[in-house]
Amino acid sequence: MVEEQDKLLPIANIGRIMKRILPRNAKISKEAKETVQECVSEFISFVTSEASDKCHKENRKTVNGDDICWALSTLGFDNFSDIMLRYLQKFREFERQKAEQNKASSSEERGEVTSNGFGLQPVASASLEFGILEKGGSSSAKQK
Amino acid sequence: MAEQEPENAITESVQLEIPTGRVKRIMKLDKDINKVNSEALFLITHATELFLQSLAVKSAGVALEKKRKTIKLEHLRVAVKRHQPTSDFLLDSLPMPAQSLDQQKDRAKSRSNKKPVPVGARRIDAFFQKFT
Repeated sequence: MVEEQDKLLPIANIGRIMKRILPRNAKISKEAKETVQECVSEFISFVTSEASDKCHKENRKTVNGDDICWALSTLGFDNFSDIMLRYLQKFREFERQKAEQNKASSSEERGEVTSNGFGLQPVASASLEFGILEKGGSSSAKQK
Repeated sequence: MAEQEPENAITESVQLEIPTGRVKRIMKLDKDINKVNSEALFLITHATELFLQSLAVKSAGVALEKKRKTIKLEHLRVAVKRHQPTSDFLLDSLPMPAQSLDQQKDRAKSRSNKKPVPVGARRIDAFFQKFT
Protein backbone atom coordinates (compact mmCIF):
# COMPACT_ATOMS: atom_id res chain seq x y z
CA MET A 1 0.00 0.00 0.00
CA VAL A 2 2.95 2.37 0.60
CA GLU A 3 3.86 1.98 -3.06
CA GLU A 4 0.43 3.13 -4.16
CA GLN A 5 0.65 6.26 -2.06
CA ASP A 6 3.96 7.18 -3.69
CA LYS A 7 2.12 7.64 -6.98
CA LEU A 8 -0.20 10.18 -5.41
CA LEU A 9 0.15 13.58 -3.84
CA PRO A 10 -0.58 13.69 -0.10
CA ILE A 11 -4.32 13.86 0.45
CA ALA A 12 -3.84 16.38 3.24
CA ASN A 13 -2.35 18.90 0.80
CA ILE A 14 -5.08 18.17 -1.74
CA GLY A 15 -7.78 18.72 0.87
CA ARG A 16 -6.16 21.94 2.06
CA ILE A 17 -5.92 23.43 -1.42
CA MET A 18 -9.53 22.51 -2.18
CA LYS A 19 -10.83 23.86 1.12
CA ARG A 20 -9.03 27.13 0.61
CA ILE A 21 -10.62 27.88 -2.74
CA LEU A 22 -14.12 26.63 -1.94
CA PRO A 23 -16.74 28.36 0.24
CA ARG A 24 -16.36 27.55 3.91
CA ASN A 25 -19.49 25.40 4.13
CA ALA A 26 -18.52 23.26 1.13
CA LYS A 27 -18.08 19.55 1.81
CA ILE A 28 -16.23 17.02 -0.29
CA SER A 29 -16.93 13.31 -0.10
CA LYS A 30 -13.97 11.07 0.71
CA GLU A 31 -14.40 9.31 -2.60
CA ALA A 32 -14.38 12.58 -4.54
CA LYS A 33 -11.25 13.75 -2.74
CA GLU A 34 -9.45 10.46 -3.43
CA THR A 35 -10.51 10.64 -7.07
CA VAL A 36 -9.18 14.20 -7.35
CA GLN A 37 -5.96 12.88 -5.85
CA GLU A 38 -5.69 10.39 -8.72
CA CYS A 39 -6.69 13.04 -11.29
CA VAL A 40 -3.84 15.36 -10.39
CA SER A 41 -1.30 12.54 -10.68
CA GLU A 42 -2.70 11.82 -14.14
CA PHE A 43 -2.32 15.50 -14.97
CA ILE A 44 1.33 15.54 -13.91
CA SER A 45 2.13 12.40 -15.93
CA PHE A 46 0.20 13.60 -18.93
CA VAL A 47 1.80 17.04 -19.22
CA THR A 48 5.30 15.78 -18.43
CA SER A 49 5.00 13.01 -21.00
CA GLU A 50 4.00 15.48 -23.69
CA ALA A 51 6.90 17.80 -22.80
CA SER A 52 9.28 14.86 -22.75
CA ASP A 53 8.18 13.66 -26.21
CA LYS A 54 8.99 17.11 -27.60
CA CYS A 55 12.48 16.89 -26.09
CA HIS A 56 13.07 13.45 -27.62
CA LYS A 57 12.01 14.70 -31.04
CA GLU A 58 14.40 17.62 -30.75
CA ASN A 59 17.22 15.42 -29.42
CA ARG A 60 17.33 17.17 -26.08
CA LYS A 61 17.79 15.27 -22.83
CA THR A 62 16.40 17.73 -20.34
CA VAL A 63 12.85 18.95 -20.04
CA ASN A 64 12.87 22.66 -19.27
CA GLY A 65 10.27 25.28 -18.38
CA ASP A 66 9.53 26.21 -21.99
CA ASP A 67 8.67 22.59 -22.72
CA ILE A 68 6.18 22.53 -19.86
CA CYS A 69 4.53 25.75 -21.08
CA TRP A 70 4.39 24.37 -24.59
CA ALA A 71 2.87 21.08 -23.40
CA LEU A 72 0.20 22.91 -21.39
CA SER A 73 -0.74 24.98 -24.39
CA THR A 74 -0.74 22.01 -26.78
CA LEU A 75 -2.95 19.97 -24.49
CA GLY A 76 -5.51 22.76 -24.34
CA PHE A 77 -4.63 24.35 -21.02
CA ASP A 78 -3.96 27.75 -22.60
CA ASN A 79 -4.75 29.81 -19.55
CA PHE A 80 -2.32 27.76 -17.44
CA SER A 81 0.26 28.11 -20.18
CA ASP A 82 -0.02 31.91 -20.18
CA ILE A 83 0.33 32.14 -16.42
CA MET A 84 3.26 29.71 -16.40
CA LEU A 85 5.11 31.63 -19.12
CA ARG A 86 5.03 34.71 -16.96
CA TYR A 87 6.22 32.76 -13.92
CA LEU A 88 8.97 31.28 -16.05
CA GLN A 89 10.22 34.72 -17.03
CA LYS A 90 10.24 35.81 -13.42
CA PHE A 91 11.87 32.55 -12.32
CA ARG A 92 14.70 33.01 -14.81
CA GLU A 93 15.09 36.63 -13.87
CA PHE A 94 15.36 35.61 -10.23
CA GLU A 95 17.91 32.92 -11.04
CA ARG A 96 19.93 35.37 -13.12
CA GLN A 97 19.99 37.88 -10.31
CA LYS A 98 21.01 35.22 -7.86
CA ALA A 99 23.86 34.13 -10.13
CA GLU A 100 25.01 37.73 -10.51
CA GLN A 101 24.82 38.21 -6.78
CA ASN A 102 27.05 35.21 -6.24
CA LYS A 103 29.65 36.53 -8.65
CA ALA A 104 29.80 40.09 -7.34
CA SER A 105 29.65 40.35 -3.58
CA SER A 106 28.64 43.99 -3.21
CA SER A 107 25.90 44.68 -0.64
CA GLU A 108 24.14 47.01 -3.09
CA GLU A 109 23.25 44.18 -5.42
CA ARG A 110 22.20 42.03 -2.53
CA GLY A 111 19.74 44.75 -1.57
CA GLU A 112 18.32 44.74 -5.06
CA VAL A 113 17.65 41.04 -4.99
CA THR A 114 15.89 41.07 -1.62
CA SER A 115 13.53 43.85 -2.71
CA ASN A 116 12.44 41.69 -5.64
CA GLY A 117 8.76 40.93 -5.19
CA PHE A 118 9.12 37.39 -6.43
CA GLY A 119 9.99 35.61 -3.22
CA LEU A 120 10.63 32.14 -4.53
CA GLN A 121 10.83 29.15 -2.24
CA PRO A 122 14.31 27.56 -2.34
CA VAL A 123 13.14 24.84 -4.69
CA ALA A 124 16.10 25.22 -7.04
CA SER A 125 18.81 24.71 -4.43
CA ALA A 126 17.02 21.87 -2.69
CA SER A 127 16.66 20.02 -5.97
CA LEU A 128 20.40 19.85 -6.66
CA GLU A 129 20.71 16.66 -4.65
CA PHE A 130 18.25 14.74 -6.79
CA GLY A 131 19.46 12.66 -9.71
CA ILE A 132 17.07 13.68 -12.43
CA LEU A 133 17.30 17.42 -12.05
CA GLU A 134 19.76 19.72 -13.69
CA LYS A 135 20.26 23.24 -12.41
CA GLY A 136 19.54 26.12 -14.72
CA GLY A 137 17.31 26.25 -17.75
CA SER A 138 18.56 26.73 -21.26
CA SER A 139 18.44 30.22 -22.61
CA SER A 140 16.63 29.09 -25.73
CA ALA A 141 14.02 31.33 -27.28
CA LYS A 142 10.38 30.73 -26.49
CA GLN A 143 9.08 27.80 -28.50
CA LYS A 144 5.56 28.15 -29.78
CA MET B 1 -4.54 32.46 -7.29
CA ALA B 2 -5.61 32.07 -10.87
CA GLU B 3 -8.71 34.18 -10.32
CA GLN B 4 -6.75 37.32 -9.47
CA GLU B 5 -5.21 39.56 -12.10
CA PRO B 6 -2.08 37.96 -13.54
CA GLU B 7 0.13 40.92 -12.57
CA ASN B 8 -0.74 40.58 -8.90
CA ALA B 9 -0.25 36.83 -9.01
CA ILE B 10 3.34 37.21 -10.19
CA THR B 11 4.49 39.84 -7.78
CA GLU B 12 3.09 38.02 -4.75
CA SER B 13 5.54 35.54 -3.30
CA VAL B 14 5.04 32.12 -4.81
CA GLN B 15 4.22 29.60 -2.16
CA LEU B 16 3.92 26.06 -3.43
CA GLU B 17 1.45 23.96 -1.45
CA ILE B 18 2.32 20.72 -3.15
CA PRO B 19 5.61 19.04 -2.21
CA THR B 20 7.89 19.12 -5.26
CA GLY B 21 9.63 15.93 -4.14
CA ARG B 22 6.45 13.94 -4.54
CA VAL B 23 5.76 15.56 -7.93
CA LYS B 24 9.23 14.55 -9.06
CA ARG B 25 8.59 10.98 -7.93
CA ILE B 26 5.37 10.82 -9.95
CA MET B 27 7.18 12.15 -13.02
CA LYS B 28 9.90 9.52 -12.55
CA LEU B 29 7.32 6.72 -12.79
CA ASP B 30 7.46 7.22 -16.56
CA LYS B 31 10.64 5.50 -17.72
CA ASP B 32 10.74 7.60 -20.90
CA ILE B 33 11.37 10.74 -18.93
CA ASN B 34 15.09 11.46 -18.71
CA LYS B 35 15.88 14.67 -16.91
CA VAL B 36 13.73 17.52 -15.74
CA ASN B 37 15.29 20.79 -14.67
CA SER B 38 14.30 22.77 -11.61
CA GLU B 39 12.29 25.41 -13.44
CA ALA B 40 10.24 22.71 -15.15
CA LEU B 41 9.57 21.03 -11.80
CA PHE B 42 8.48 24.34 -10.35
CA LEU B 43 6.12 25.06 -13.25
CA ILE B 44 4.58 21.61 -13.29
CA THR B 45 3.95 21.78 -9.56
CA HIS B 46 2.35 25.16 -9.87
CA ALA B 47 0.27 24.16 -12.90
CA THR B 48 -0.91 21.13 -10.94
CA GLU B 49 -2.10 23.36 -8.13
CA LEU B 50 -4.03 25.48 -10.61
CA PHE B 51 -5.51 22.36 -12.16
CA LEU B 52 -6.56 21.08 -8.76
CA GLN B 53 -8.20 24.39 -7.90
CA SER B 54 -9.95 24.42 -11.24
CA LEU B 55 -11.32 20.91 -10.69
CA ALA B 56 -12.50 21.84 -7.20
CA VAL B 57 -14.30 24.98 -8.32
CA LYS B 58 -15.97 23.31 -11.29
CA SER B 59 -17.09 20.31 -9.25
CA ALA B 60 -18.49 22.63 -6.61
CA GLY B 61 -20.41 24.42 -9.34
CA VAL B 62 -21.96 21.16 -10.49
CA ALA B 63 -22.90 20.21 -6.92
CA LEU B 64 -24.55 23.60 -6.54
CA GLU B 65 -26.54 23.08 -9.74
CA LYS B 66 -27.85 19.81 -8.34
CA LYS B 67 -28.62 21.53 -5.05
CA ARG B 68 -26.21 19.34 -3.11
CA LYS B 69 -23.98 20.49 -0.27
CA THR B 70 -21.44 17.72 -0.61
CA ILE B 71 -19.28 17.43 -3.69
CA LYS B 72 -19.45 13.86 -4.89
CA LEU B 73 -17.75 11.78 -7.56
CA GLU B 74 -20.63 12.31 -9.99
CA HIS B 75 -20.20 16.08 -9.76
CA LEU B 76 -16.52 15.67 -10.49
CA ARG B 77 -17.35 13.52 -13.49
CA VAL B 78 -19.71 16.12 -14.96
CA ALA B 79 -17.12 18.84 -14.38
CA VAL B 80 -14.46 16.80 -16.19
CA LYS B 81 -16.81 16.08 -19.10
CA ARG B 82 -17.56 19.76 -19.59
CA HIS B 83 -13.94 20.77 -20.20
CA GLN B 84 -12.75 19.14 -23.42
CA PRO B 85 -8.99 19.08 -22.76
CA THR B 86 -9.51 17.63 -19.30
CA SER B 87 -12.09 15.15 -20.54
CA ASP B 88 -9.74 13.87 -23.23
CA PHE B 89 -7.16 12.59 -20.80
CA LEU B 90 -9.12 12.09 -17.62
CA LEU B 91 -12.60 10.76 -18.30
CA ASP B 92 -11.50 7.15 -18.78
CA SER B 93 -9.51 7.21 -15.54
CA LEU B 94 -12.49 8.03 -13.37
CA PRO B 95 -14.10 5.09 -11.54
CA MET B 96 -17.24 3.76 -13.21
CA PRO B 97 -20.59 5.03 -11.88
CA ALA B 98 -21.57 1.51 -10.82
CA GLN B 99 -18.51 1.31 -8.58
CA SER B 100 -19.12 4.67 -7.00
CA LEU B 101 -19.14 4.41 -3.22
CA ASP B 102 -20.93 7.73 -3.02
CA GLN B 103 -23.86 6.31 -4.97
CA GLN B 104 -23.94 3.13 -2.90
CA LYS B 105 -23.99 5.18 0.28
CA ASP B 106 -26.82 7.33 -1.07
CA ARG B 107 -28.82 4.25 -1.99
CA ALA B 108 -28.26 2.67 1.42
CA LYS B 109 -29.30 5.87 3.12
CA SER B 110 -32.55 6.15 1.18
CA ARG B 111 -33.29 2.50 1.85
CA SER B 112 -32.84 2.88 5.57
CA ASN B 113 -34.99 6.00 5.58
CA LYS B 114 -37.93 4.13 4.09
CA LYS B 115 -37.93 1.08 6.38
CA PRO B 116 -36.71 1.38 9.93
CA VAL B 117 -36.02 -2.22 10.97
CA PRO B 118 -37.32 -3.18 14.44
CA VAL B 119 -34.97 -5.17 16.70
CA GLY B 120 -37.10 -8.28 16.42
CA ALA B 121 -36.71 -8.42 12.65
CA ARG B 122 -32.96 -8.51 12.95
CA ARG B 123 -33.14 -11.65 15.03
CA ILE B 124 -35.24 -13.30 12.31
CA ASP B 125 -32.68 -12.24 9.69
CA ALA B 126 -29.94 -13.76 11.79
CA PHE B 127 -31.85 -17.04 11.84
CA PHE B 128 -31.58 -17.24 8.05
CA GLN B 129 -27.93 -16.24 7.89
CA LYS B 130 -25.26 -18.84 7.58
CA PHE B 131 -23.27 -19.41 10.72
CA THR B 132 -19.56 -19.06 10.11
